[in-house]
Amino acid sequence: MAKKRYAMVIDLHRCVGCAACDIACKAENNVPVEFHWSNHIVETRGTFPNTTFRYIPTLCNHCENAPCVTNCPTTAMYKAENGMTLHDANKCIGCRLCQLACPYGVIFFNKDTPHANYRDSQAAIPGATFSGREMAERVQAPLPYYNPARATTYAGVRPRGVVEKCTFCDHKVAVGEDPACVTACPADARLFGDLNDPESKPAKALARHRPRVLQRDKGTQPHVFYIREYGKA
Amino acid sequence: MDTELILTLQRGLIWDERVVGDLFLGGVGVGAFLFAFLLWRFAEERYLPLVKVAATIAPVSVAAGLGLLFWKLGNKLNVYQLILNVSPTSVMWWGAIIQGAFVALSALFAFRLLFPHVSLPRVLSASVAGVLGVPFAVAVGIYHGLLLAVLTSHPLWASGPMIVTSVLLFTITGVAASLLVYLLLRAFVRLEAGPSDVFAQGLKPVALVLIAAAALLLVTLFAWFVDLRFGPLPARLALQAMLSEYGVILAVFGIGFGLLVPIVVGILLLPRFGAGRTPPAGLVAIACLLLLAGGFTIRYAAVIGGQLPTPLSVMATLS
Repeated sequence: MAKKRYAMVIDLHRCVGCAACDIACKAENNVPVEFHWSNHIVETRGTFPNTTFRYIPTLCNHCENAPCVTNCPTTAMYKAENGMTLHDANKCIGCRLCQLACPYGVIFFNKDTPHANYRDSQAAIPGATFSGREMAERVQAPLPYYNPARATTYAGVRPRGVVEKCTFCDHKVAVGEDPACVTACPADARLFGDLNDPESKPAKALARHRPRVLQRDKGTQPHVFYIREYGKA
Repeated sequence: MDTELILTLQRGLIWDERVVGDLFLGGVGVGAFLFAFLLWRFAEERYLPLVKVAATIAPVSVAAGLGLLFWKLGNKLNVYQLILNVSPTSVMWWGAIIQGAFVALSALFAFRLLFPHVSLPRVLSASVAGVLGVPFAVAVGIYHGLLLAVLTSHPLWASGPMIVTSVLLFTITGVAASLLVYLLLRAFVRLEAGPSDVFAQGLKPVALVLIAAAALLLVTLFAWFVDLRFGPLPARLALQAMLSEYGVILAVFGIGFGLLVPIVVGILLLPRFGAGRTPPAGLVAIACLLLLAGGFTIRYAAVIGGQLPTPLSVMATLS
């Protein structure tokens, strides 16, 4: 049986730019507010009334030829057998070479201890609301919306001094579920699956539509593909 | 038509002045070591005080650079992971290994020169340390260019001239630092007995190498400029961004005062480097200082300027 080769296809014709993927990712992966594992590029072109609008959701491309993996001096950034590009926070020395090597800007560095707002003792409205610290203490978690499932395959909250990035929700995939951004998409614009399985949703979509990738000239061979375009069927 | 692109990225420099310092000091150390070894091996014994200074600079400078890099690491306590995990595709991993070996060998070389009467096994002689150290020195020098050149996401770095620039910079700054420190020590601290007032006699080949390397660096920087200026769009945009931010300091301090002035001074002083004649030490020191400042400026502009954000029009390219 062929090895799995996970990939994601984003149908730009279906995407409505609601950013539900971004929010779902943050909640699922305990991502700090200022980081964007799931992100988007917004492009407006032209002068009213002749304008166009483009919304390109972005995330780690889990490249076949991942420069972050090639350049990592400690193998903290690595390719899993199923094609995912993953990160081992325990091996990371925080040199940030992966950030420099990645042309997509999807790797983030914890310069400070993350989730500072849940260590803050000052209440948002003094005398009326909890402070972030009280909130975290009462729920007995690093942050109120902490998802312990994230910690099954990666650090639940990545510590200060290391990088972090999208993992294709490998903890969910490991139990047969789709990544959080795929599940949350109200327009079914995201298709996730094994490219080596011709019956998988992304394999079928790629067979039917011409796939495009971001910055193809970089030679990274991304595993996140884009099909179609908003306004063009 | 007006186009506006929005993408929220993590702000701030990824590699700051500490990395510039590491690359600069690493270059100085490597160049000083090669200078010391060649002088020790092929020049007359009267240059031994200068050899000792250069040999001492080598491990101290590279180790100081590594110290700056260590300071820059986000997770310093994990640095042992570099040894536990073999990562042969990573230039930085190779750099850590060869720099470690180089510091050890150059430190041994300096120790044997400074304390020749200390009894050590023959295998730890200055000759062995020096001969073994040379390939490591060259490798470290190339590594400092290659570390940036392999990052194809940064067009300013990913070019052949980047590696050549690194090699030329270590040649120039290593020799300049050795001469400068030697002259300062001679002026303010009594060095060991020796014909210290004739330091430059017979150093004409060194002066020639410095002038030639500085001139070659000018040509290399021009080639780098042409390579980017007439390269693909991302390269042109990266060059434009770097020049708009750091073009003035690169032109004034890196090229003008850092290369052109020392070249002119060197050519004017060249006849006075011959046997039996002595160039003015003050002028030589100033030329060396300018070369060092120029070398640092070029590294600074390349490392910091090379990290200016990639235009979103490039990042949003779907094809």
